[in-house]
Amino acid sequence: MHGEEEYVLPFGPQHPALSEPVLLKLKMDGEKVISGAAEFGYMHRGIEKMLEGKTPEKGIMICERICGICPVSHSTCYTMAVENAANEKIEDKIAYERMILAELERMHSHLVCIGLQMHDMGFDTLFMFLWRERERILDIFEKLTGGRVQHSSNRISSVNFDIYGVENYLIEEMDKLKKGVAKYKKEYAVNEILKERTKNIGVITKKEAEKFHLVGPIARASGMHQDIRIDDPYLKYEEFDYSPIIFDKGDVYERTMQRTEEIFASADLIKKIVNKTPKVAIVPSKICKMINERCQGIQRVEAPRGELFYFVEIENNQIKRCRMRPPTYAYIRILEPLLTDCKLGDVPMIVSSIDPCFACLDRVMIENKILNKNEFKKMCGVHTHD
Amino acid sequence: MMIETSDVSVNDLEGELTKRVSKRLITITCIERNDFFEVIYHFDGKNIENLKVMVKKDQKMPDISKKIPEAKIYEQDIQEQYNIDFGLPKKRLFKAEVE
Repeated sequence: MHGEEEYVLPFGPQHPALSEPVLLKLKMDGEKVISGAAEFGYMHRGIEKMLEGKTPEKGIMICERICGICPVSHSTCYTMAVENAANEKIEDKIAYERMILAELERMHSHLVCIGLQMHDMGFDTLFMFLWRERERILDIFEKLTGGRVQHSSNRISSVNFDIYGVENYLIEEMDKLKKGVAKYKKEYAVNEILKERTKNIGVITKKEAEKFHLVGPIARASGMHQDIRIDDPYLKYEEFDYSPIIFDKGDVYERTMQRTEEIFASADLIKKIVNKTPKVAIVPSKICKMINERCQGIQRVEAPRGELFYFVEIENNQIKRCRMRPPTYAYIRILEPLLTDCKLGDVPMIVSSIDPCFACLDRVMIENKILNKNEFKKMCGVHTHD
Repeated sequence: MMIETSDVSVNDLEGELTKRVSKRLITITCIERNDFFEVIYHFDGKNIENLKVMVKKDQKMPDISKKIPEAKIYEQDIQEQYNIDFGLPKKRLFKAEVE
């Protein structure tokens, strides 16, 4: 190609530079991407439909499995929506414990994201170092809940774990983690090669961020004051003095730095929460009351990637409808303008810097037709002679 | 959390949604009842504001995505799941179809 002919390059759905399947249709002119369009739907599992008819307690198990990186946010948001519907109040200690797990998850998610960005850049050493710090958080999860990825931490009006007795361990680990991340931050904050690779790439201005109504870290990296923990406090966030981490340029570099600063902020917040948590053992959870009249509950939380929203309707102690709006759903539209007028080599960097979660996005399964064996094979590209 | 809910008719919906152009649309929820759909628009603000509309199963819904661009992905989602006509192209966002 000598710049004479435009062509469409399919980037994905399976591609080494993508951590999850998505099809990016890139209109190319040589090395330059003229425009890009995203097609998704490769990860859907019919979760919203699967929830219908289940008891509210069983719903927690399904909601937790929507995403492997933010299961706590999903289960906390769902549980709180059910509690709102049933007018259930929770004890202070339970609220603090949910907050500790949510903040641990935020640090975990940001470390995964930054690590993957380093991997996409070819900086694999730092990728492994950052994921070693992430391992520390998984160890804390294992110690607290018994699960490293899926924690089964929430129940309606209660939690399945207790930090009673491990307060000092948590505070010590937070100090170690902060020290570790600070050491690696020095590497990528001043590294000239990395700066060259990430500065002024994938820029989202504040005006664009407001126009596209972005949420979460990518909105804050572009200068938007958007944080549900402050805008619409839930659990006990209003008791803590927390200010959002705001950057202004909104390029790939700023988004990485914004997430790094949020890791430090979350570690400090966890220490404050641990010190404030009542030093008593949790009362074993009572059996959830039956919800027989039709009632609806709404809740939103600040998940690691941004605002997560749940709407739940319950009748006869069964979920009638559960609608969820994960953060990626809210900001996926920004991908197309970001993929306009960029270089092909920058595409993986741009995609990983907005940290999209296609497992969260693709929850819906549309069944048009039940396939027979041959049709299924044809769909998979397997040729048969019968 | 404070939630405000108001009911509107399909004819007044476009006007009511236009009044809320400056607000962020969180999402649109659709619930299937016996012979109609209940569509709820959730708007962000100091409190979450819900705008609820009852739609007959063969009734057309206004496409608000020109005024509120983020509505498009949610409208497309509902059009696919519940077959409510928002006047959007019949392409599939979440695809599982065999030609």
